[in-house]
Amino acid sequence: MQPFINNPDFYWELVRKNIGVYSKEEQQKLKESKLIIFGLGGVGGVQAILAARMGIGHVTGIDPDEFEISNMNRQMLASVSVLGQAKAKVAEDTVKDINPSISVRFVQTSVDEHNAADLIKNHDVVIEAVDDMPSRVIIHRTARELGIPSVGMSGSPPHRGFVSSFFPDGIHYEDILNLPGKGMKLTNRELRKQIANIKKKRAWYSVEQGAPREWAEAFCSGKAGWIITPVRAMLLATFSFHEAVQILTGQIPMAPAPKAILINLDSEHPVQVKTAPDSGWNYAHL
Amino acid sequence: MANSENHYRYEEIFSRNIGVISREEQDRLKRGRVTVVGAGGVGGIALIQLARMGVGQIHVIEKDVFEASNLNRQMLSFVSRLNKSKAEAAQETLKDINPEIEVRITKQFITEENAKELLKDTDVIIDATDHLVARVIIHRAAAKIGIPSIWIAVTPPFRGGVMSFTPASSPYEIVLRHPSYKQPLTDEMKEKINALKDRRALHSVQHGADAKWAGAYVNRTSPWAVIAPVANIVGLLASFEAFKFIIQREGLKPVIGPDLIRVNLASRLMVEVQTPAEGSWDNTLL
Repeated sequence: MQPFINNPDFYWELVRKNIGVYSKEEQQKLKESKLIIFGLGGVGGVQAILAARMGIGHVTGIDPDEFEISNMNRQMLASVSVLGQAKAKVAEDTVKDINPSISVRFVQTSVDEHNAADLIKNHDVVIEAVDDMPSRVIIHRTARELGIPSVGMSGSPPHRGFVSSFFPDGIHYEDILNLPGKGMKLTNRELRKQIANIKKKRAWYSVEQGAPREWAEAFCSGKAGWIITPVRAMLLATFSFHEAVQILTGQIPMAPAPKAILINLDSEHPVQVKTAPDSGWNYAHL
Repeated sequence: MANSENHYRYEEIFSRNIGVISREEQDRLKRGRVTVVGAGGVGGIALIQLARMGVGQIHVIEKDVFEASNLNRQMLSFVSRLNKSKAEAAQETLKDINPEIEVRITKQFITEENAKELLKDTDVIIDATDHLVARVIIHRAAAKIGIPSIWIAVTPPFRGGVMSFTPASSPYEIVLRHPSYKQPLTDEMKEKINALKDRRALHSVQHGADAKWAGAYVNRTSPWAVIAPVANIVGLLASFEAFKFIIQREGLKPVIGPDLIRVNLASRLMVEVQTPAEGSWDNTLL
């Protein structure tokens, strides 16, 4: 097999079954595209894998963490044999085992206001798959300042999710989600706390949607993590990745803000596109 | 990092499921048995999801080895596994997610002769094959031996479906209007069944699939076109239906045929449960 991998035809064999859904020209665009993914966990880890399988030419991946046992219920890159290893390293090894000629930059670091622009510049699309609110704001703000579209998502128990795409000339991430402190630096500790508190409100709203009360109490006092199962993580990953591919192939994605893809597996419309009300989304209810 | 297998306790791996899933339900999953026929684009992701949910016993039925053109979507496929058995790869990956999982593999095609023997002793069957005659054999045998079976479809450009059958439901061949209901599977009948898929290819052009591709598919010069997000979403939803069959939660019922979970990533209702007006579906339009 080894010689074939180095053959230029390998790429077109890898993506052979994409053709028909995408034209050769669209596939060529993907081959020349540069994608950056923040977070390589339940959502971002899958997206890195999908990026390689879709034949995207360059992928940058950012994550500060190493794999732990409780990641394995949902994170596609997590397995017993990589426990303790950096998520960034495992992601790099995995995508290269899918497409050996893919260009990569995987970095074990967290994102902050100081490094965001350097990390994001020179990419065509940003995927935000981190789980803390201040980092989400930093990523979408910086992408907008650099003129690069960004895809955001969030998920809540039991089986709910939200995906939306943001364009430099479109509505602001912070506006459509009614986040406090627009335009203020996120080094402001009080503001970071305010933004982080929204997630506690989401935990309580989740209880109304069927999540256990004891979990919300434990989450708010810092004793429990956000609950998330593999199906929800994968659905969020896949729908948000599809947004990124639509953008990279020059199409209008399904959910440019104020539109969003809303997931709720406990309903007759498990996945649908909706437009935000004029007042924007209530993030606590997403 | 833990250095003994004893550290990878089942409870710890699946700790983040708890809250969405109760401990009793997690126990049911641990005792649950699922058979997956086909470990490709849909079957591969479904297998991984079942393992990450904590299903205790899995049977993989798959004869093929990995090829380069699998890499665009099949989550078990990697360059390092080209030409290797898909069933063995599935076993290796599932064990690396949950070392306690029991995985049985069968490297055979399903036939009328072996179906009942291979499909018995399980709680639910996922039919993730791409061969229409094999599907008829699987759902017929499942109904006969009294085991629920889950059907899937992946259709260009961005469409798919998931639907379950039980011994008590309307039969597969009636719900999908196959010419073969209660007929022997003669060579002539097999040809008629296979022709349904050609008509699906041609119909998919109306939904935006490339007309040249559809023509080439009918002439057997092009393979079925399928991209990662669609195959993976369908596989995820199929794994979630199997999960519903196993946990048997009040108010979380599987979608039983002729009700259909319909996927179309190009539609505003990206995933929707639909009931056909006439009580059955024209398979060539799905």
